[in-house]
Amino acid sequence: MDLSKYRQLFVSETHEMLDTLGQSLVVLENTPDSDESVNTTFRLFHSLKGMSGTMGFTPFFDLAHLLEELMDRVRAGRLTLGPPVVDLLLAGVDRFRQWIEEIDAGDAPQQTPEVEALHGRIQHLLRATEQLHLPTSRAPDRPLAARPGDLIVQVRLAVPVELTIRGYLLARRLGQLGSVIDTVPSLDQLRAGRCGAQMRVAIRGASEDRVRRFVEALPDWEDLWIECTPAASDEEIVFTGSFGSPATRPTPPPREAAIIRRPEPQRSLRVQTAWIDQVLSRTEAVRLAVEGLGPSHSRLRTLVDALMTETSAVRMVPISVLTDRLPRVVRDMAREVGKRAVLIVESADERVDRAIVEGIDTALTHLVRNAVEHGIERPSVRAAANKPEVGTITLRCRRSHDAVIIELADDGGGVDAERLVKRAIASGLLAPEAARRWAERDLCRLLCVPGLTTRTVANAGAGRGIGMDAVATTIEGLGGHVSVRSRPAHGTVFSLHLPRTRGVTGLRIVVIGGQKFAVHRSWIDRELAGPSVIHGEESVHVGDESWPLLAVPGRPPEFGGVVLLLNEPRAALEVDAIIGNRDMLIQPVPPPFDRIGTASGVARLASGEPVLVLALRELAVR
Amino acid sequence: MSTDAKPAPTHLAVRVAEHWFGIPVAQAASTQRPIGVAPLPGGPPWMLGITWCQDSPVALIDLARLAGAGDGEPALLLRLVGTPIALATTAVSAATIRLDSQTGADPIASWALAPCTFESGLLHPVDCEALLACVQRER
Repeated sequence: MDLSKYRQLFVSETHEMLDTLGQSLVVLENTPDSDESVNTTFRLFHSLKGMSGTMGFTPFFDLAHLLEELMDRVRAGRLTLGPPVVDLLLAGVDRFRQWIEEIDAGDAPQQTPEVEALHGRIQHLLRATEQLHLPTSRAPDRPLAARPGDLIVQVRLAVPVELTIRGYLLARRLGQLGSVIDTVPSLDQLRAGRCGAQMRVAIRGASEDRVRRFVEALPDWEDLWIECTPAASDEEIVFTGSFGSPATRPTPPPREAAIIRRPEPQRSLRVQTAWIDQVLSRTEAVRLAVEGLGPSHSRLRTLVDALMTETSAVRMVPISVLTDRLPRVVRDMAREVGKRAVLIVESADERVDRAIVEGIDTALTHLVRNAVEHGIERPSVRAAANKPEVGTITLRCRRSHDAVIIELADDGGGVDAERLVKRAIASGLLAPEAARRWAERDLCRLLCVPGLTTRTVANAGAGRGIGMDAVATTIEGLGGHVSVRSRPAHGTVFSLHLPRTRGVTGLRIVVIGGQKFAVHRSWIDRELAGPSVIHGEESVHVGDESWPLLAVPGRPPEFGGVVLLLNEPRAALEVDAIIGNRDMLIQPVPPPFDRIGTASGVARLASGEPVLVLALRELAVR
Repeated sequence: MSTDAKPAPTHLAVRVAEHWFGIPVAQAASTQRPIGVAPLPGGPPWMLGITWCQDSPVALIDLARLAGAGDGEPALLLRLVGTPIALATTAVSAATIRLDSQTGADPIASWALAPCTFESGLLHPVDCEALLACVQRER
C-alpha cells in the first residue's frame, strides 16, 4: 500500500502532538501527581507509536514504544516523574522532531548511535522497575538538625526502590566536601540499607556550586534526583511537598494550568506564507493604483481596503504557536544554570500576523533565557530574600487598538542599573552623563548598548553583551518597540509593543537632507516648528527637558526648521520638511542590508517611489 | 536539418559604467526600469539603495563600484534569481560566451572570472555565488 500520500498528514499531526507533549512534560515535571496529565501524556506516546508503525517508520516506532513503556511505569507508580525521567522523555521528543524534519524532506528516519544510547538509558530505567520491590516502610520524617548556612542535599531515586547501600555511600562521598552534620534516615539506617527511596543530608562547610558539580559528575546519578539548598533556620527544613509539616512548608512553587488540549477539528487549507505575501503585496499595489484615481472611485477604494484587511487576516496566527514551547526553554535554561523557574503564559490566544510571530521568535526566546539567566536569582538567594525558591516568569499578551503588547515579567532581582552605568563608563561605551541619564529615563536604551554586560564570564545562554540591541532592532524592524521597567529585588518587565498585522501602518513622511523618509506616527510625541536646534548641539532643549538629537548617517538636515519629539525612543529628530501622513504597507529591508540598522523597513508611495522607514532606536544608540 | 543554428545564449551581457559583465542566463530573473531608488543611510557605497522589483523591495548593487572600476548608473535593473539583489545597469543584451575566448587576463574582482573577448572589448563573467558571498561579507 502506498502510504506516501499520508506523509504530509503524518508530519503535520505529529508536529501538533510533539508541541503538546513538549508543554505537558514540562508541566508534569512540576505536577507529577496529576493523573489526568500522566494519562494524556501516555496516550500521546501511544498514538505516536501507532502512527509511526502504520507509516513503517521503524526507528520512530521503536523509540515511541520505549517512551510509552516509560510512561506506563509512571502511571503504575513504579517510576517517579522527576527531572531524570523528564530529561529522557524530552530527549525522545527532540529526536522525534529531528526525524519529522527528515520525513518532511522526503527521507526516512534512521537509527543512529545517539538514538541507540537513548534506548540504552531508557531500558536501564525500565529494567530497574522490573526488579522493583516497593519499599514497605518509609523512613520517619524527623526534622534535620541543621543551622543557617548549612547545605541540605535531598536525594530521591527516579525509580522508587530502596536506595540500599547507595544512600550510605553517597552520604560518605558528600562527607568529602564538608562535614555531614545529620542525615535522615540516620547513617545507621543507611548503612543497613533501610531508607526507602529518598534521603536528606545536612552538610556544613561546602559550597552549593561544589556540591552541584560533584553530584553532576557522579557516574550513577542519572536515576537520582538531587536538590541542594542552604538551610534557612534551625527548624525543620523543607524542600518539596514530600517532607516536613505543613506549618513550616514554604509557599509552593507556582504551577501552570493544565495546558494539554486537543485542537478542535476544523477544515483548513495549507498554503505557503510566501504566496500570501505575494497576494498582500499585489493588493497593496492595487490600493496604490486606486489611490491615484481620485475621489470619484471611493467605492473601489473601500473594496480594495476591505480586500487588504481580509488578506492580512489570513496571515494571523495565535501567539501561542510561539509561546507553547517556551516553558521548555525555561526548564532547560534553569537546569543549565542551576536555578528553579517556571513560566506562566497568560492570554496567548491573541492573533497577530505570522510574519510578526516568526520575526519575534528569536528575540522572545532570548528575553526568556535572559530572564532565567539574569533575572531569576539562585534558589539560595531567593530563599534568603524570603521569596519562593522557584522563580516565576510571566508572559502576558494583550491587545491595545491595532497593537499587541507582549509583557515578559520576572520576579527576580531586577536590573542593577548602577552597576551597568559603572560598567558602561569604565568600558568607555558611554559618557558618564549619558549613562546616568539613560539609567534614569530610558533603561531599555542602556540595556541596548552593544557590548554592555554586567557579567564577567559569558556562557552559551547570555552574558556576551550582545542580544538586547538585536532584540530592540528586531522589534523595531517589525514596526514595534521595546520598553523596560525594573524594581530592585522585585523583578523586571520587558514590554514588546508590536503591530498586530502587516497591513497598512500609519507613517509620517518627512524630508531630511533631500531624501524622503518615513517615521511611525504613533512614535511621535510632538512636533515643533521654528529653529529649535542649535548648531553643534547634541540635544534639543524644550523647557526644562533635554531631548537627545538623532542623526541619520550621511543625511544631515539641509536647513532644518521642524523637530519631531519622539516618545520611542525618547529623542528628537530634526527634519527639513513634513510631506504628510500616509497609511502604508511596510516591507522588510532586503538582507543582508537589514543589519545596517538605519532603516527598519521600506514602504511605497503612491508614485511607486520607495521610502525608507527610519530605525529610530538603532539611530538612538549609534 | 539545419547545421548552422546559433547556440543559445549562455549569459546576459550587462553594461555597467565602461565595462561589460556576464551574468549566467539561469541567474537572471527579470529586468525593469526602476521607479526611484531610496539610498540606505550607512550602506556601503556600491549599494545604491532600495528599490522595488515586481512588488518586492530589492537592494540595488553597482558592480563597477564593487569592483572599484568606476560608477554605474541605475538606468535598468536586473534582478538575480532567488535573491533580493538587483544589479544597476545601463544596457543588457544576450551573449554566448565561449570559454576558449577567455583572455587569460586577471579577473576584475574576486567574484568575476577571467575576462572574455566580447564585441570589440572585454566581458567579465560573474560568478553569482561568489558575488552574493562578497555582498554578504562586505556589507
